[in-house]
Amino acid sequence: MEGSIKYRIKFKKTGCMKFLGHLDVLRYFQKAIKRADVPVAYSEGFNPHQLLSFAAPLSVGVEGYGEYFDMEMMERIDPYVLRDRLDAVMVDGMRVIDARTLPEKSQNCMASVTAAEYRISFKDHDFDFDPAYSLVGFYQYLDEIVITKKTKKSERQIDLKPLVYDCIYDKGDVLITLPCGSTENIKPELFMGAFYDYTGIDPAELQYTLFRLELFGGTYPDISPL
Amino acid sequence: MRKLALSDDILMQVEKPARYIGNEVNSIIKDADSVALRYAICFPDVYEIGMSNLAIQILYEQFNRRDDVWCERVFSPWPDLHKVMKEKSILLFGLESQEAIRDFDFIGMTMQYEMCYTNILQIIDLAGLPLLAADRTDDMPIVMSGGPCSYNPEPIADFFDIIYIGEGETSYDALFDLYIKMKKSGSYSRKEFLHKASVIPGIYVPTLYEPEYNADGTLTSFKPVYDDVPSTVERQVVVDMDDTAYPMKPVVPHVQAIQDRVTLEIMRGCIRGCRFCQAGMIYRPKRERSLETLENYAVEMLKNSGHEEISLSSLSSSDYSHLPELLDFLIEQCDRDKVNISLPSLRIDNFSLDVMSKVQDVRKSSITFAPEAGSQRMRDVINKGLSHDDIINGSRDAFLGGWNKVKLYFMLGLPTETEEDMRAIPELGDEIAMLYYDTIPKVQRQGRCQVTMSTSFFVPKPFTPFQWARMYEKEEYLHRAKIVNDHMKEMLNKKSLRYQWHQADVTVLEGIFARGDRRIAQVIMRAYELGCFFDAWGEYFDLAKWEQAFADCGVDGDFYIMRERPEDELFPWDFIDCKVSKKFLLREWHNAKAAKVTKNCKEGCAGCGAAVFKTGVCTTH
Repeated sequence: MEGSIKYRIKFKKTGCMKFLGHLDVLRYFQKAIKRADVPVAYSEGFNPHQLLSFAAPLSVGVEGYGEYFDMEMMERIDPYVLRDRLDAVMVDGMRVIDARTLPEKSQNCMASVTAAEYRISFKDHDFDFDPAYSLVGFYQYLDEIVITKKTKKSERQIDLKPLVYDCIYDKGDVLITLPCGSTENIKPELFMGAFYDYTGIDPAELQYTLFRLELFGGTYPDISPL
Repeated sequence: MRKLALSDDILMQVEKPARYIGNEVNSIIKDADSVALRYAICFPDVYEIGMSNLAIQILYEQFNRRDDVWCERVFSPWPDLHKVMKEKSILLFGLESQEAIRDFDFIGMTMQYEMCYTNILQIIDLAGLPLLAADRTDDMPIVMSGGPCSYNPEPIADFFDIIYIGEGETSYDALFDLYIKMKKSGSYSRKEFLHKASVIPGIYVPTLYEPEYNADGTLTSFKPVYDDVPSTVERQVVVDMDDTAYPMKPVVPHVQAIQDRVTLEIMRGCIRGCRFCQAGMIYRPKRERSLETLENYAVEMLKNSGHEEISLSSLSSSDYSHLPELLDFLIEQCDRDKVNISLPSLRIDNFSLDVMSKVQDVRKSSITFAPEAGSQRMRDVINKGLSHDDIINGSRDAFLGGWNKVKLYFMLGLPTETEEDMRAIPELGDEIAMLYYDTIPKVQRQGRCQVTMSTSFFVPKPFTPFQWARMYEKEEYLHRAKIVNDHMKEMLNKKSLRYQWHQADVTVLEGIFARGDRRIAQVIMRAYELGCFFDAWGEYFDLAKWEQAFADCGVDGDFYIMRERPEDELFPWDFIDCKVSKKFLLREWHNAKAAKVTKNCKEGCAGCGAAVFKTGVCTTH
């Protein structure tokens, strides 16, 4: 909107709030912004809506620790004040952790996101090895990880190996960074599927919990948090 | 953080898991150990429907204002979760604490429509309680209900320990005080409590009354089993609408509710006296909230919820005395705060068209009339104070204002209805379409006009002048719809007309429930055993199972609906003193048959009996 100022909001979606779908999160923030009474900008017309743009949708059931949306404001507001006013109207599990002003011509966050970092945390299991080590090893020692990616229209063979930006061991968990966004999007479940297929492990016997830790912009390897 | 009642695994395998997690904005958490009474307020349908209901929100607020009470919400688990809960023996829980409602003191359900009756059993069943009140023991919660269906509670009376007759604002405190006192003094037993509760105004304890039947199946008598239990139960009414609990901090649903907005209840009751309308009778007299109260509510509720839409709630908003002032205020507020105003069905005139053009896109929206009947004769029978001229003039004004879509609502199967009355429905639609082409010059038209007619099948309800009326077989209803449909195709402007009608399966069943007696309870139980629930949802309604349930129980449903009832018949609901007298209803039944119009409350008092409350329209006119 003409003359509006863009802000980027970083939030956490944890606990039971992970069960909200993307559209419910959108509606949640629309109402929260109204409760916070901040000078958000609206579209024109009979049913004006807030000018918001959310980064990559998060799957139902996954906690997000570095989630983002952009909002356009009618007037300039101190980002810390904006953050605090939004954070004050959250429910348990939702926190607004940061707000910052964006340069005038910057891309919105949906278009900016290119990668996401996840934590893969294995649940209790009966195996006598550390599956996090195996997972990292699986990534490191294979030259290619070919899987079939199904979309609504087609099926294609892709090699995941060059698409995994990072895969490291972290205190019994695995941290993995994958392409995310409109150009290339690899869900961690796809990578895990390849792991189960290769090792022959029954997914029911080795379950894991997924967390999305951060979203990044830029071109790999030159990526940074949104 | 609270521990959820359902594991992540279960939540991940059901549709819309956010229905079951609670934690909404403005939901209320208390320390369970610090309260004396825990109440589970329940709407026996899925979350998105239940969260749209105003009664639930009002009572939630009212109960939680008490420090010694914690009220939580419960809705019907969707069939996918129902299955999991049955398989894994998971007990139904309150959304706030996530704890089993089996351990609460009360479970209270609102019954807004008859087709939720099997869902009542689902709730009681999943709560881990016996379905029949008579089988419950001292350590179990009191299961109670209220709402419009409680004006004939008999078909479901066996399932409830208490049924509250009337508006919840008046007698709950006395009920809670009695319960807490008996619990604290150690004198509580279920039997003793229910007996004492039965003398509180509006409190009906079904187990304390016994029906006797004549050989023909009608009631001989309906009497309390103890001398000190009142023989009639008086409907409860709020006298001062500005002095009630109202949800200033409405709970904001996580999953989009059907009505995802602030609801402003501007008044209760209706002056119109339409003879088919139960709400128009059982909420008498019309009582308004003051303009000042409503303005204050609107501002607070929008601020506290963050909702992006507000709507007015009442039976006939055009009859609210300060409507222009209220709408002026809302339009100004909402325009500034970018809040949508959802207008209820207003009577179509220049004022309402002007308001509508301010808050909605004229080209996209439609105007709505509810003539309820096609012919003027039929409208006189039902006492619908909407004349042919009103409809034609309103339509003309709307067309001149830029609208080209008109919706018309009708009923089929009304008492005394003839084929001529049915054919009058498409004829009225055609006349409106014709009016459009006569009124709007060709160059100004935005394509064709669109007149959509919908019919539902009339179901006679207790405490209306039509409570004596008969219904018809399913085939007859469909036959009538066909007459309308066929005749529509003969209309000159048939390309501008559209006709929709409802299924008739549910109609007949709804009729049986509406005017049934205690013998219906076994059928509902049997149907639930056979797997019926979510009957209000087309995809789950299974007529064959219901037919089997009636057959298995040897109950003849036709007895309740297929005969015009004699004027001296004792009805199962006659023990309720609704304060709208049977004498008045009978007079209106006679007037209906003579197609004689009765004045509305504003034009002249018809002596219905509601004046005893000395409030609202009864004192101002």
